[in-house]
Amino acid sequence: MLSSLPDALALLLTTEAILTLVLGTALGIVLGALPGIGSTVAVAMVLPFTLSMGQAPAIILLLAVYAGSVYGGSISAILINTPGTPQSAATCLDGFPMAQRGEAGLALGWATIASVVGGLVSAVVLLLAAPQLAAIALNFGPIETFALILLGLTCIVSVSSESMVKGLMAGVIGIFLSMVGADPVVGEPRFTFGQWQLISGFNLLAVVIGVFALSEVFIRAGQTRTQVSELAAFKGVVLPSWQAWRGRLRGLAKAVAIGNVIGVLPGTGAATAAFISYAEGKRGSPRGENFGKGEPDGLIASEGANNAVTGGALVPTMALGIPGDAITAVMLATLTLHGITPGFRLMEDNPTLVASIFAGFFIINLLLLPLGMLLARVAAPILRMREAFMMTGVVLLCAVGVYFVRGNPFDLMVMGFAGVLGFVLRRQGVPIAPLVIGMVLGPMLELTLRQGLILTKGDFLAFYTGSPIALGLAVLTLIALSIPIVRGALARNTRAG
Amino acid sequence: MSRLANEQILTQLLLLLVGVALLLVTFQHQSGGLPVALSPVFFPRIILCLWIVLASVALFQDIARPSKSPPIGLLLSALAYIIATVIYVNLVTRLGFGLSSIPFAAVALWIFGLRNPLVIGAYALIVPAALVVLFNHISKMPLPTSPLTYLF
Repeated sequence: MLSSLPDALALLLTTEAILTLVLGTALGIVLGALPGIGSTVAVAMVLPFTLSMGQAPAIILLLAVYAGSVYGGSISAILINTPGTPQSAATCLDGFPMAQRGEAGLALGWATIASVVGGLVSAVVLLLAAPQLAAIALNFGPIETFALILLGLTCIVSVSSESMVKGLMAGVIGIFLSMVGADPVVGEPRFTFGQWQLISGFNLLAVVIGVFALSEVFIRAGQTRTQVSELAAFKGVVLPSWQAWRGRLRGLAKAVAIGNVIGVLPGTGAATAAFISYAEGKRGSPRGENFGKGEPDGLIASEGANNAVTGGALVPTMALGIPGDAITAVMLATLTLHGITPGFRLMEDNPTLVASIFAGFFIINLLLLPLGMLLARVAAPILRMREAFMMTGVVLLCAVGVYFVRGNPFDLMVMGFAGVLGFVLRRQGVPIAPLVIGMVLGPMLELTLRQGLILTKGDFLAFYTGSPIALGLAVLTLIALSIPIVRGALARNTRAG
Repeated sequence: MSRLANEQILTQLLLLLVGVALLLVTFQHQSGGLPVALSPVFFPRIILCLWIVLASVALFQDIARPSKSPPIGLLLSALAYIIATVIYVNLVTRLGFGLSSIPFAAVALWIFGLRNPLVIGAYALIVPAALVVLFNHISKMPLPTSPLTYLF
């Protein structure tokens, strides 16, 4: 991998790549700053426009929007006490109090540095860990891959914090949606009901945009109208002095470590990392009693962790083809659309492409500093945009984006259907991320199961008796499924006691 | 409250019935003597059985312990927006992006509470026009045009 870095850097030093890096990061920061958009919607909206790009620029653009939006959420969190992204919710706790006492610029300075450091370290982790993990996965055949995907699907349990049953059901619905169309083994149409447009199945991108972006707009349309938020006085980002960092570097290191570890675990995300890091930061900081009153340590804890997740979440995605969270599930879909099969073969067959993606991710996190300082001033007045304008613009852009995928009018109808489905499910407390994860992993799950059954002549038990790796992964799957049940039972016992 | 609980129960019941219906569809398939692993309905049946089991469990959970549904609130607004969007996505390729986006944007802004006709009109005209100019004429990534003219 490291030997491919010179070629990778050559790929990145083209006009297209540089523009992609800068504009993508800038776009991500602005979109992330807009409450209601969020990282997932931002990535989903940009996704269609990457289809006309080369493989590396397409992935780098999505990474830039992803990393930029995670940081961008801190801008609205600090200036208007409304997180632009869920992972910036913890940033509100100390960021807005600082802004209220006239230190908005300084609060953004703390957030910016912590985000940049968190992102850079996660880029290094990605560069070092992903190839190692992929090398292990070279020993995987269809049976082991099936067991691995089952383990990956347990991340559905993790993202379904409110109801495991509903989360699993959403995942199953997603897997079913992926089965509509031609059977992958014998080619026979399934669940098309005579509609020729369904022979190629539901367009994944149309479904992703529908369930995430469109359903969000529908949800907002059904909520009480919010007033335009009061903006804290803000004259520009002010970077903290070196002396101010004394006694805080350990907290930053801890936050970044928490973010990286949590990022690698499938199913967890930046929001989880931010809150765990905030709680740990409050516990371990000598200024812990000031948390929630405008303490920079709180900003460092949340922003360092949430940006550190970005690279870690890409490790299982790039190395194993298992998404770490909903956003990496969308990225996995992008890789597939570009003809890139993530997993063990990717590192071996495309080392330069992979190295360019990793190097690009490193550069993106470096760009967060100058672009963050520049764009925070630009984004600030945009935060006062009325929700009506923002949401209507989202729908128009979604229609444009989905149409560009294949120029197929049917995809627009799929987007509309997915939006309605997402709205209905979300109203009933059914999480949406598992649906996308199921739709992304479903085809490979079916293919590897059927290939494995062909190899074992129809004996499913032989999957686990004949493969120690598959058996080990099955045990991990059962443990991962049991943890929420055990945790729930313990919580009930504690309440009863 | 009972009305809110019924919304959840009805939705879960609908999901359960859809799962059952889809499973029944798989039994219309003729296997033709194919081995199990090669049958196109093998995996769908597994998934649909899981669907039915999970939907049943969720339904019983909702009946036994109805959780707080989101308030009805502006549900009618949401439904109106959904209808407007469904009509819009059907008309985009028939009337062209520009012609279909203008009324949609106006309706969407009105549903979101805007009432100033000047603001609504300006947004509904300017934003779709800007997108048409950007994509059709500058970046040459054409959006659907109307039957009247290639310009929009």
